[in-house]
Amino acid sequence: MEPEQNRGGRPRRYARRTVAKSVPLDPAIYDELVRRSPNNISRAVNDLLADALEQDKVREAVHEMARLLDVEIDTDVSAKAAAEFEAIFQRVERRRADRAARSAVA
Amino acid sequence: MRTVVIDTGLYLACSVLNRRSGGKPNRMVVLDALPVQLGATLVTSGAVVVEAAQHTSSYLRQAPSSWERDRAAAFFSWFFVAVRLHELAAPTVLAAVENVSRCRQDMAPGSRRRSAPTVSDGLTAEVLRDVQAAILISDDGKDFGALLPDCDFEQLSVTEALRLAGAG
Repeated sequence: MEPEQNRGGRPRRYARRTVAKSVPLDPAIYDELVRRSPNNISRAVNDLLADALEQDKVREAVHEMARLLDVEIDTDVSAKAAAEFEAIFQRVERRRADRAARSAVA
Repeated sequence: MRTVVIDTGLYLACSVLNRRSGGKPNRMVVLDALPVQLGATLVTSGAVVVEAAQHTSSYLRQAPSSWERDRAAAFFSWFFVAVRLHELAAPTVLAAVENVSRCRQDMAPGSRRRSAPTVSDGLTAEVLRDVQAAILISDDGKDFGALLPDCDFEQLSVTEALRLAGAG
């Protein structure tokens, strides 16, 4: 019967690919990656790339929807709207933090 | 993570199905400001995707040309790339349906049927609870308030969200 793990202790037919290339990092970026994930920098790089790719997909979708509507989004208006939504996020985060602090005391 | 839950109303307001959205870029601003500018995640329930598909499908049957049909179908697909579908575990779906039943029973006798929460509202409410979203964009504010009495979030009607985005 086929063993469930390979010699590296990973599941057999492990789906990840290793990039056999050294990538020079700026010292500040390297330090930030170590800070975020001290024991597993490749995990931090994977997470960041996954976020960036997801963000790219969303950006493309918004661009395509605007094209289908035949409109051009005014980035100044969009930034102003983002600030309004940001204020709501901060308000909710503050309330939740206050509530968590109160229940920690109680 | 900054998460916003939306229901069908925002799709209808922004989409090519809405004649008033034609030529008005600000209707798209909500979809640009939240995920692109702020990096917020827009999520919804499977029930909302189904509702949006039903609206789109009925539009496709009466669309004046194949170009319009293609445009509406493409818009639907791109919209649900920008808005992520959040899957619920089976026990959570059951809890959502029970929550809806409880809310309906608790409603005052004689209250209008129109204002009762639907199963779709119940599923979307559970998505909000699951992802701990800070903002809900929906025109069924009262229903969500009844379904989620213990959750701390802010509700915006579609009109309010569009107004915040300068498209009111």
